[in-house]
Amino acid sequence: MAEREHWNSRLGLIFAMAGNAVGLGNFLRFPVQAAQNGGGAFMIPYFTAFILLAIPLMWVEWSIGRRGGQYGHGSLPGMFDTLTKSKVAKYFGAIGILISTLVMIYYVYIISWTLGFSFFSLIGTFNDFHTLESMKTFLYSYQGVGEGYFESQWPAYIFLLLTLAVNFYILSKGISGGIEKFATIAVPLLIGFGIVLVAWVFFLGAPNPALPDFSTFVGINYIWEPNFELLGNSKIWLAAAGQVFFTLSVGMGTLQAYASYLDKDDDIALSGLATAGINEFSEVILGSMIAIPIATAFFGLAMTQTIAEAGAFDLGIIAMASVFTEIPFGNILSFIWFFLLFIAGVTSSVAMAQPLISFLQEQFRFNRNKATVAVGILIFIGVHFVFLYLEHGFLEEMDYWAGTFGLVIISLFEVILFAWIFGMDKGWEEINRGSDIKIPKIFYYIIKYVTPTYLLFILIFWTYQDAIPTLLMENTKEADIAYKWGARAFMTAIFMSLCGMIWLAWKRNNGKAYTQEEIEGGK
Amino acid sequence: MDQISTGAYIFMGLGWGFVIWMVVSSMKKILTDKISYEEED
Repeated sequence: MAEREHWNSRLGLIFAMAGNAVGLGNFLRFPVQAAQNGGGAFMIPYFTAFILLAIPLMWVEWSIGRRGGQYGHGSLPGMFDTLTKSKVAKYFGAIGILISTLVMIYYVYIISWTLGFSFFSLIGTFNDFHTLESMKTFLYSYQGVGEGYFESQWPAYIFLLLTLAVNFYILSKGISGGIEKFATIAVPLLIGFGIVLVAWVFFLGAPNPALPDFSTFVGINYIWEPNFELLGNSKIWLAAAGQVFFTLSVGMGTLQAYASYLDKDDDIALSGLATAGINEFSEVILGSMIAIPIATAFFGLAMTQTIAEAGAFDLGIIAMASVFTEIPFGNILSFIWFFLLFIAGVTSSVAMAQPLISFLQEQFRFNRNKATVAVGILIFIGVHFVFLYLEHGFLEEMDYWAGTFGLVIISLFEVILFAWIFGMDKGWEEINRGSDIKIPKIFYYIIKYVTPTYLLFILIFWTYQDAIPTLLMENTKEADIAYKWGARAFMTAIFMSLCGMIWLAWKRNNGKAYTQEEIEGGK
Repeated sequence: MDQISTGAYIFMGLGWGFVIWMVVSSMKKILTDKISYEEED
């Protein structure tokens, strides 16, 4: 009898999970957040949130995933349905599939920029764009949002197609043959590239002896110098919680999808910690030591702060590409930087497609290839809206509702479902089954009381601070309003379609997942 | 290197130390355990 797919090795699973978590945010978002929110002192709220929010949520998601896998489910609707008798839970699961799919739609476009810039680094396309302004026009003309070096969006489109091809080639090969094999090579390579760049940061110091303050060490100091006065500010604690929340890729349904390919008694406690450790290594050690220190060495601290405040892409793409045009072996270092970002992006994006692929396989009896093609077509169509309407905020709108707000909704729902509806006693047993370490009992109480409260607080604050103004389109340009409504209509259409599919699947056989044998038989 | 303050060194050391301890202690146990899930069956 054909078995459900499974991970080939524990190390492969850890690399795949770590690859899912390590993304552009580790290298671009973290250093900016740390520097702007108290430097070294930011580590206090950061690690507090890591222990009270991220680690418990991660264990909850691994548990929900591994348990769902025992019923043949690799996506949230089926997993949630097995945790409660309520008929509503599975529709919350639809939000989980929606989020990962929507984020993948715009994320593949962003990582295609890094592939494009890797290529341009190697052939020296932007070697003459030394200033920030000129590099900005280079990037904007590439994205089609301004005039400059590129006269059309064809180069960007070609790199987008290549990125999609890489993603769906990996996905078509399955869990162990595609995702696991890729992650086993990609994650060590990514860490290796990161270490090379960090070593170069220490070697670089102050490249211009006439300007000793234009130094990588000043940049490192900027990130790590503690400012304890800021610790009394609640915004710092929320910023830290937000960063921790994004960094482990919780709330997307991807951890659960990967964990569903574990066996009933496989350890999740230690494997989860190892995954989180690799992610933190990439973020706290590599992420803090590359972009800001390098930018400080070439633009000075004040200018670097201005660049960082303008956004992660201004720092990670425009400033970094501009710096690399000024130094010996710049083309190689530039390639290493942009290709590192590309690898970090792809290891995450393949995970984002997996929940929908699993859903189509297990509820609609699509075989792996057919499911991959179906998801590929959806992503291909969706990314065109992002590609064509980038300057009108289509990506921004999707990023806010799916990539920010939606994650908190799903996380809060699942932790309440797991700890309060399914029951914390059963949940605790689920987390600890097959465990290679003894999880301190205090986490029983953290998961039951602290994590939901923490999430509820974040949700209320973000709703008040961002969601209402975003919903009402305050500060939106008149010309962009129609496009943002278009983005909302697009997201709603996918959500309604998913709800319809769930209704159909449950009407037909009460959501029972097809076995691998039935799936392979195909339709 | 003297452009990095003592406070920055301390927090960098604590942050890096915690992360390295987490990676090394978890991976050490995993790598000395059985690697393949299939072997466990």
